[in-house]
Amino acid sequence: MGKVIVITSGKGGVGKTTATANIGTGLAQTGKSVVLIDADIGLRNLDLVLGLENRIVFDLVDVVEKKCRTAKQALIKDKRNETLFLLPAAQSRDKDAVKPEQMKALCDELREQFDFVLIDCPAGIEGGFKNAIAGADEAVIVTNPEVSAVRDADRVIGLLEAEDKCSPSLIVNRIKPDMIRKGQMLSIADVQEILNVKLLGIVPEDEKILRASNRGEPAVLDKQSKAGQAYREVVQRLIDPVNAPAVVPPRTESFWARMRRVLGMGEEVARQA
Amino acid sequence: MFNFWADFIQKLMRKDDSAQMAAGRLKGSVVLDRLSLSPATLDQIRNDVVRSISRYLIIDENAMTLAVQAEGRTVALAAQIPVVRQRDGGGEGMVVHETRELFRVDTAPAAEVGRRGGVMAIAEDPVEDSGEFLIRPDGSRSALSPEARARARALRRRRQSRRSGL
Repeated sequence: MGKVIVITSGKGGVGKTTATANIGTGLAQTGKSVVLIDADIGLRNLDLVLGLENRIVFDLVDVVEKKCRTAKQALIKDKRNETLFLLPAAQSRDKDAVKPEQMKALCDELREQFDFVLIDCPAGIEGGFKNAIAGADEAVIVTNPEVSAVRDADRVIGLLEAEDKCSPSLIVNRIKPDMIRKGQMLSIADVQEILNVKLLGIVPEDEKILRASNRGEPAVLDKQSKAGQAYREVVQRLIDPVNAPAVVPPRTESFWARMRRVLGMGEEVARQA
Repeated sequence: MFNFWADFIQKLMRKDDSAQMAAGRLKGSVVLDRLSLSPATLDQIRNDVVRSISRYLIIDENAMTLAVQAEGRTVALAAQIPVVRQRDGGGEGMVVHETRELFRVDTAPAAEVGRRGGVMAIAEDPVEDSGEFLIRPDGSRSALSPEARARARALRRRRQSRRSGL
């Protein structure tokens, strides 16, 4: 019996698709059988990030409309990993083409045959989001250390809790350690304190991510990539959460920030309404 | 040498720790979102609180804060209401301390208020002769610190002399 995990964020552009591609590839590298579902109907991208855009025959809507006999028939096998498969989104339809019950049935069918089913959720909290989370057991929230991404993540966590999904875990993506040290970027501790969910991973900003998606090869395959390394750690935690827990790095501050604070010159934080 | 100090002071004065601002602003908006509470409604609550407390106490409305705060993933309404003094004399023995610490209402439901004159929590039987003590939000009582008591006594003396002067 496989696990169904939805990767979601609320806000667009924070790295859901990249995270899905990297985690899926990383899991497959450890020998797990994995299927990735692109639930972003009308705006599909996961195929492109994985370099599988030329192999698409059937898509998610074909499967729920029973245009192919089984879900497995519609899956595209990855170029590099024998155990990784993609179910692409339909490009010419919209999000109403699928209903939550159909997604749930599909997830239940696929979990019988795979160790992991990862669902790449569309941005937003409307129909497409409801579809994507319908069949999932767990959720991974991707956010950036940036006010709008964190606020949207909080909203999504609230919605997931209302749906009684297993408590979500968090990936903070695109961090710049240098800016955090200077007090110019929300730290992991700040983000975690606000969202108050379990931390799954910290992924640094990395030019290699863009170069990897240019080529259609997830960065997790690149041993030199820092983001790739972070995703390999995420994969280890998903496989065995007990042995490799994610640690929130302690708040650090630069010499000047500390001097300002000690001398009472720090920026006033607006706390009350 | 001058350059060194100019640089030093400039670096010290530069306030670009905007992450702290981001965290503060986020905490504020996220808790309102969780309650689907608009800032306007929070203002209304604040006004109602001011109105009802003002029937009994003169409070420092400008220094008062009322905010929703996250506690884990749940939310608490927390108020800090500095009290200036009790409204309308209050008569002998109704000590109202002008020390702000003493009248801070912290994370309602109950208040930290001094003895008989206290409105939000009223003590009928003072635990010691001076009668000044705190009632904590959980209902427990504790004696005042010597400094706070000294302040309260000085205040009472001042008030009594003012009254006798009238």
